[in-house]
Amino acid sequence: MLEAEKISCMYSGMEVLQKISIRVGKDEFVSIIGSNGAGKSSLLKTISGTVKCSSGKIVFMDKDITKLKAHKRTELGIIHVPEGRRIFPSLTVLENLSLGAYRTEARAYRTNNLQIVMDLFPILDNRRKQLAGTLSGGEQQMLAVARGIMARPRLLMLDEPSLGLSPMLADVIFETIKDIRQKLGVSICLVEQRALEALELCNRGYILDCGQITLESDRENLMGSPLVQKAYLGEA
Amino acid sequence: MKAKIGQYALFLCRRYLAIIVVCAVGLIVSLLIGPNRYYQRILLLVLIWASACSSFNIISGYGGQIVFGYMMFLGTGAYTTVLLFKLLGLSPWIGMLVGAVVAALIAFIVGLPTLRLRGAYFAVATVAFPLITIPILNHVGFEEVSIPFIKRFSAMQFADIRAYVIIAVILLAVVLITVRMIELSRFGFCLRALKENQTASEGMGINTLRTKILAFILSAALGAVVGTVYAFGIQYMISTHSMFGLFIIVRVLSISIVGGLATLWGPTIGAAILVPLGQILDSQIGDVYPGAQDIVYGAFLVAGIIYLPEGIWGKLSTYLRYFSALFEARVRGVQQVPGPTETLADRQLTVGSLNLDFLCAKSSDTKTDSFILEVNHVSKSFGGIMPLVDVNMQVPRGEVLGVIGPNGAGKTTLFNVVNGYLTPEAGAVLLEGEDITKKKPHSVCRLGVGRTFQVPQVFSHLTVLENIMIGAFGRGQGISEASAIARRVAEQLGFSSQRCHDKAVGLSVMETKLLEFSRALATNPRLVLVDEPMAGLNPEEADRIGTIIKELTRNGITVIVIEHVVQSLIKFADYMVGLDAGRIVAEGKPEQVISDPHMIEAYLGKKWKERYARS
Repeated sequence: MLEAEKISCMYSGMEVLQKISIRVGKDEFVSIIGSNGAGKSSLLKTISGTVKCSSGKIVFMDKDITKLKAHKRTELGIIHVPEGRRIFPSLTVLENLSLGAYRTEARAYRTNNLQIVMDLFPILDNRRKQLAGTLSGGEQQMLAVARGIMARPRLLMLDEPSLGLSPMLADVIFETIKDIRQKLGVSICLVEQRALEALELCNRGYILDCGQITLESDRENLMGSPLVQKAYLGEA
Repeated sequence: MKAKIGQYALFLCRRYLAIIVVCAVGLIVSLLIGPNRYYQRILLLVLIWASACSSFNIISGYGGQIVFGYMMFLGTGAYTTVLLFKLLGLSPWIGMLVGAVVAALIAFIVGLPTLRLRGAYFAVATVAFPLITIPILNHVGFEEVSIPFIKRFSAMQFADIRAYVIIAVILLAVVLITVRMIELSRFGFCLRALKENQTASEGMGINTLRTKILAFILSAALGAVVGTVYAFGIQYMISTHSMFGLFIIVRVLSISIVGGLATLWGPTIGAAILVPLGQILDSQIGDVYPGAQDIVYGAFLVAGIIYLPEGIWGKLSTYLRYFSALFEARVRGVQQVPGPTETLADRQLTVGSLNLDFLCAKSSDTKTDSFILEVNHVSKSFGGIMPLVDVNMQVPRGEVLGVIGPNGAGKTTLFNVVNGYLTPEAGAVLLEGEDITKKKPHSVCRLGVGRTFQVPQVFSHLTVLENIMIGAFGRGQGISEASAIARRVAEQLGFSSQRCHDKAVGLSVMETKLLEFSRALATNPRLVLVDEPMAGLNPEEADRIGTIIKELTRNGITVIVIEHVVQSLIKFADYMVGLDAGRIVAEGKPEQVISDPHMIEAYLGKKWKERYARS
């Protein structure tokens, strides 16, 4: 479904991604883990088009999208839920969600989608009319993910959805992501600092370090790998 | 004594050498032009606009508070001087100073309410003042005022335009030296810091309102002097349009932006390019296309903002720095590696023991068992939501208090109430018995409360060292002491001396967190409020943060930590408080709090508890 071939990207003169190749299959759940500054967020940004790649090729559903602008990629169904809950604080929950369905293909399914989202996130249902800025951190994160789903993604990319959440809410978020996958049949690309949860969820995973992929494998292999155990799961 | 004065004079000469040279070049150009009035006038205009824009640069460039109504001060200076001269016969030399005082007063009165506002409000509010002044002056019959023609030195009138050029050169030198002094001073650092991040500056002990007002007053007073010289040297007859008109701010902005805002030389370079261009166009095609000059300024303003937002000097200085680094590398024979020279991850920094004795924390009697912080019955509400309800908390000295609770439980609000960003509706906050409930953040910081932020609030365009220096300024240190303290703190927390000179914007997440710690420590705190230090860190890095926090208490500093990474927090917290929906629901030893049924139910979740029991 998505195939990125040897993409590189520069940030103020520094190469943060060095010829990275990743692919996400249809209905596949791919997790990308790695330490800070490894380039995880940059990778997602390059795929969604908010950051230009300096070399390489990105193909989505047999179409070369390397030169495509970010909004055109959204239109194709690549939905990026960025790190840090970028919701619209002065709009209500419902308005935020409606804006999520801005994509042409999603507009027709707006009501239908809203129902799905509200089923997934009952807490948002209770707060339909509340301004998004007054939601707690966890609720804002859910809203951000929910807004992503409203766009009827083909590929949903989540950047650190558990960041700054309480242990329980983080668990809830991970549970919900599992749900999304089962109910919606969508490809998911998850970037996480919490390696354990991210690996438990995925079919396949990548380990990113200093802008390069150091390991790629399926879930069992990754969780069994001594390198992963030591560096990312914090088990001595 | 004499030798010392001589040395100091030499030092000043060197520091301001560039300014002296540039002003001398201005004089030489004037000499070369000779008696040609037309070219002398262009030179005079360049000098005057350079001075005006450099004055504007203090508040709007360095301070980041764009004054759209800047012509107010040029006009005030000119009108005050001319009217005093015409009506009372006061010499313009004295009138010029009176005008500066009047402008400073206006700036103070206008600034006091409007500089509290953030964002565009201040800029918009200032534009109202010249717009009000114009009709008032017109109404009382001062729409146009001619300057009485008295050819005398005391009347600031000269037959030879070159006399005005000399005055303008001196004026430009004064303005540039003032700007340079500000750049190098504590005040200048604070100004740049608040431009970048007002919240963080306040948390570091900077009185932001006072700093902004001072900058505004300086800009206004210098602007008034420039206005006077403009009136006498160029105008001969001033009008509300020529002194208060909107075209002035368009020129000031386009010259400053094209040259480079917040740089010493930007406005001067901008003026040297745009003013002659405008003048020549005006004289060449002004008769056919009147207003050609304004189009030039407008076009350059737009082009500058789009293509060269850092300005000509901003761009040039980056190249200069780059080439000088390259040159240095070549001389030393070092291969230049683009990008950050090293990361903490490479160095595998192990935080050993921290020695913070040089900070000489004010916590005098560590043995007394009184509490360092008491929060008594504090309640806070935001339009119907109650983030804090009757919170009572006593924090013993020299320990680590962990605060946990669901998102939205009021943890950060509690911090904001303690260090003065918020004032509670009810209750009191006592720091070692002193009531700090209604104190502003900068005073709370000076009393010894440091703070780090949930979303790191570093001054990203300042270097690591400068960031830490801002913390030291908060406690009233001068430049050299602040820099010494910053160096030692940076060294203690593991920043290499090379890394100290990198801008904060390129730091990794871990380094950013360490920078926040360093900056808070430089304020010499007795108590540090640490908001989610481990968010976004891997387990190993989180442990390092834990070690640092533990080390702080060993140095007699009390720490309160908000953290969601509970499994790390319980390793180093001496005791914990659990908040939910604005109330304290659990308190005690870490084991106690995480076993509390309410905390498991509302916060930790059964899954977490199971996983914790397993490990």
